[in-house]
Amino acid sequence: MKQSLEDEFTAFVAERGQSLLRIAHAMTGDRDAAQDLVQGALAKAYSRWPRIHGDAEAYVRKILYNDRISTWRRPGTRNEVFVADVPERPSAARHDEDVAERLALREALLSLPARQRAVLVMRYLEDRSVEETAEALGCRPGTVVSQASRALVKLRALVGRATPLEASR
Amino acid sequence: MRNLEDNLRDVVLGLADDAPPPHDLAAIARSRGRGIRRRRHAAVAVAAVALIGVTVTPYAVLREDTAPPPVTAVSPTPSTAPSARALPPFDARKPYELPGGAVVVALSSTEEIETATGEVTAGSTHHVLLDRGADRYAELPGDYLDVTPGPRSLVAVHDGPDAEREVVLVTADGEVRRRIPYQPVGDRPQWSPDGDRLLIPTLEGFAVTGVRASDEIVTGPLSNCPDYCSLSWLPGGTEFAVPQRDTSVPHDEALPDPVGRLEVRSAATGEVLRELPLAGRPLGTRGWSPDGSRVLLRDRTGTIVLTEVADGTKVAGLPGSDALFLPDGRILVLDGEYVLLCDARGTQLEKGYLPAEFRGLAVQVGAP
Repeated sequence: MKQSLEDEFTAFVAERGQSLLRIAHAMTGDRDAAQDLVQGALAKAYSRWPRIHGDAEAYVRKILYNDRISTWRRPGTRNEVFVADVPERPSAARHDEDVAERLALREALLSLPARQRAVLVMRYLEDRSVEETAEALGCRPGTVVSQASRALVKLRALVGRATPLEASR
Repeated sequence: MRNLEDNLRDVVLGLADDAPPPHDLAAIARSRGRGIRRRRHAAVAVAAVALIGVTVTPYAVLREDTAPPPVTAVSPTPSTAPSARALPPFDARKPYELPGGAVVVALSSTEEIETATGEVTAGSTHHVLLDRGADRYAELPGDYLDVTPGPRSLVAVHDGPDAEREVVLVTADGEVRRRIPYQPVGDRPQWSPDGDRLLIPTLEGFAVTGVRASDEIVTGPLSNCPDYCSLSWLPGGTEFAVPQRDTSVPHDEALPDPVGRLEVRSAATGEVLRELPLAGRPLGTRGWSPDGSRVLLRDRTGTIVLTEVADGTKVAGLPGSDALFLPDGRILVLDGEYVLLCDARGTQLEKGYLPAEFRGLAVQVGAP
C-alpha cells in the first residue's frame, strides 16, 4: 500500500479509535471483547483500505455492528445472555431509585439479544435516526422500530417497570 | 423517578465511557489486515484456477477431440424413485442444459478468508455467467458480491462495498449500462417475466424500473414485510407479491420472521390490489407457476412447499435448497449435488447428478 494511504490509515485510527471502542464497549460490556471487535473491524478496513478509505468511518462502523450481530443471522443460534436472576426492583428514595435502576438497566441491557442491543446503542449513544440505523444494520426501518420497541419492553420488565406478560409480546 | 429512556441513555453512555483506551490499534489492525490480504490473495488464486478450469478445460478436452464421457446410470431405479443419471460434463461453449430444459445461468464462488483469530469471513466473489447473446459462458469482469442474470443479456449486480447504495446493470462483458440508486435489502432484485424491468426490495419499500437510464423509477413504501423481505413478480409482470409478517406468532430472534399472508401490489402504482392466504416467502419470481395457480414457498424452517395460491393448501413438500417452475409447468428442484425434475404436483420424475466441476460453486438456473 502506498505510504500516503498508510499514513491516512494511521491518522484514521488515531482520530477515530476511541470513538469506535466506545461503541464496541457499549455493545459488549467487556473490555477485551470490545478491543477484539474494533481490531477485527480495523483489520478488515486495512485489508481493503485503498477501496474504502473515502468512506472509512461508515465502513468500519458497519463492520462493527454486523460482526457483533452476525451470530444472530446463523440459523439455530441465539446470542441472548440469560440472566440468572431478575434484578430486584429498586425501592429506596427517588435518587437512589434512579441509581439502582441504572445498575439494573446495565445488567438488563447486556442480557438483550445482540441486535436489539446494537439498535439501542445506535439510537441512544450515537443518536442515529431510524433510517441510518437500518442502513448500518442492513435491515428495514420497520425492523429497527420493532427491535427497539421489543428491547424497551424487555428492559422495562427486567427492571420492574412492566409485567412479564408485556415482556413476552 | 426519571423516565426509563433517560436512565437508559445514561447507562449506554456510561458503558461507552468505560471503554478501554486505544492501545496499538493501528499496529494490530495492520498485522491482522495483512494476514487477511495474504489469505485473500491465496484464495483468489485458488478460485481463479477453479473457474478457469470450469471455463477453459472443456475447450482443452474438445481440442484433443476427446468426446465427453457418456451419460451413465448412477444407480438402479427403484419403481418408487425417479430415474437417476449423471449429467454430462460442463462445456463452456454452449448453455448447460438440465432436465426439463432449464439452463445454468451462473456459477459463483466466494472466497472464505480465515483471520488471525480463526474467524472465517467472506472475501471476493467470482461469477461465470451464461452470455445469452453469445450462448456461451464467460467470467464476469469486476468484483461483485452478488449477481442476478436477466433474460436479455443484462445482469443486475451488487458491487462490493457499494452494495449498500445501488444496483448496477452490466452486460456480460462487464460494461455498466445503468446505476439504479437503491440499496437492495433482503432478497435479490427480481427481473420481470419479460426481462424488461427490475423489482428491487429497498430500505424504504420497493423500486421498479426498466433497463434504460431514462426509465422512470416507481417507488413506494412497504409495511410489515418480514426481516428478510423477498419480493416477486406474479406471472404476467403487472403485479408483485410482498410477504406480510404474521404478528400473531411470538417473535424469536433465532428464526426468520413468520409470514402470514402475501400482499399483491400493482407494479405500476404500488397500490395493494388483494391479499393471498399464503404462509411463506415465494422463491422469487421463478417460484410462481406459469398460470399463477401454484407457488413455491419457503416456510419458516427453510423447507420448500408447493402451495395452491387460491386457498394456501399445501400440495407437497420438496427436498433441495432451491426450485423453480419451468415454462411447461413442471418444477426443477436444485440441491448441492443434484437436480430433481418434478411434475406440477411435486411428484419426482427424474434425478440428475451435477458434474464434479460444480462442487463448491453456487449454481443459478434459468428458463431455457
